[in-house]
Amino acid sequence: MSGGLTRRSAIAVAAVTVSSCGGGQDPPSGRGARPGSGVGVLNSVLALEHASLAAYAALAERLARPERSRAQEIVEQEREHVRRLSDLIEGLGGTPVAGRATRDYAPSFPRLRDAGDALLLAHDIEERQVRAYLEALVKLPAGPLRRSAAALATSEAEHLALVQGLRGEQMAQAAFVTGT
Amino acid sequence: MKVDRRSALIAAAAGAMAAGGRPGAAAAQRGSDRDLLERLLAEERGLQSMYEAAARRGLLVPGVAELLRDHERQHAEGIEEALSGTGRAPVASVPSAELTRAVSRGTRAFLRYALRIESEAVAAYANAVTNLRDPDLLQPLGSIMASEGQHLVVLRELLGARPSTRAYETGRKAVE
Repeated sequence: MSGGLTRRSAIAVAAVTVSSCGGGQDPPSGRGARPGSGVGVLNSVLALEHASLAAYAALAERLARPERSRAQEIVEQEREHVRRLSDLIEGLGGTPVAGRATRDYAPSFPRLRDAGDALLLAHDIEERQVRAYLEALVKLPAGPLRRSAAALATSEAEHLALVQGLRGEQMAQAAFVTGT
Repeated sequence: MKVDRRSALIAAAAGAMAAGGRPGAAAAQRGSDRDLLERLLAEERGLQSMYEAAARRGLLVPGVAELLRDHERQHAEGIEEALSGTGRAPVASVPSAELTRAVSRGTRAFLRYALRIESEAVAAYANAVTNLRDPDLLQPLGSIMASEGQHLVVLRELLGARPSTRAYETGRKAVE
């Protein structure tokens, strides 16, 4: 139980580390993006996506086929999320927060002894991302940005289902997928 | 834990709609949000019937149709709760002839049909969260959309297809 909390905290810390160099609140007016445009919210989830990609790179090393191939499919989709978020932020006149090298995130990740630890970390990452996108949904202005947040939350929920399947659990466990 | 989370979501949705009961300029907002919820409720009832039919015929791996049916029932209950007190008239749903055909043709035909209907449901939720005026409904509906996305994964897996095919899951409208 405490291991799960530690893992979740690790991802959150890693994301905060990145977002502190550009994410978070909307920028003040006069720097491109309008306050309230959603740039700050989108940069926060983008920072989490960067941290999650680094975590997947670390955990994939502990997986064998076929779990590793499935994790690779998730990674490709997470990269697509980064591209989409970056495009949205630039379209709003903002600057997408950049990711860091995997080695910069590594100290904040838990020790992964085996595939079970790796899949547990993947599970926590996906739960955290679902939550982040659902929270973003409320903070974004009505219209297409909300649609994007909901589409990305749903994609992360699909990843969560895949990871639950890899862990030998029911893929769709709850009627309301809220993340943690 | 799950019950608490679910109760909280239903309460949030119900509270949001109850707040719409105030007179004045909120009337138009209330009306359009209510229309969106009515459409989602119709989707949920259709999904519930679909999995009920699969459970009765034993079309899926034991327990799966029942699990997905129960999820859809909980979604419908949450939306009904949100709609209660808005003066809506009950709407009856008619069994779909297409569902009857899919069920009669066996498991693979049913799975293909179910995938299409679930995908349309995801599209309906994506449309709803884009257009909803009441922000208190966004997270409950977003969490249901996420659940429907997980159902897509289950159905694709059962069909032997790649389970997660879209990085940006907005479903597919009935007519695009």
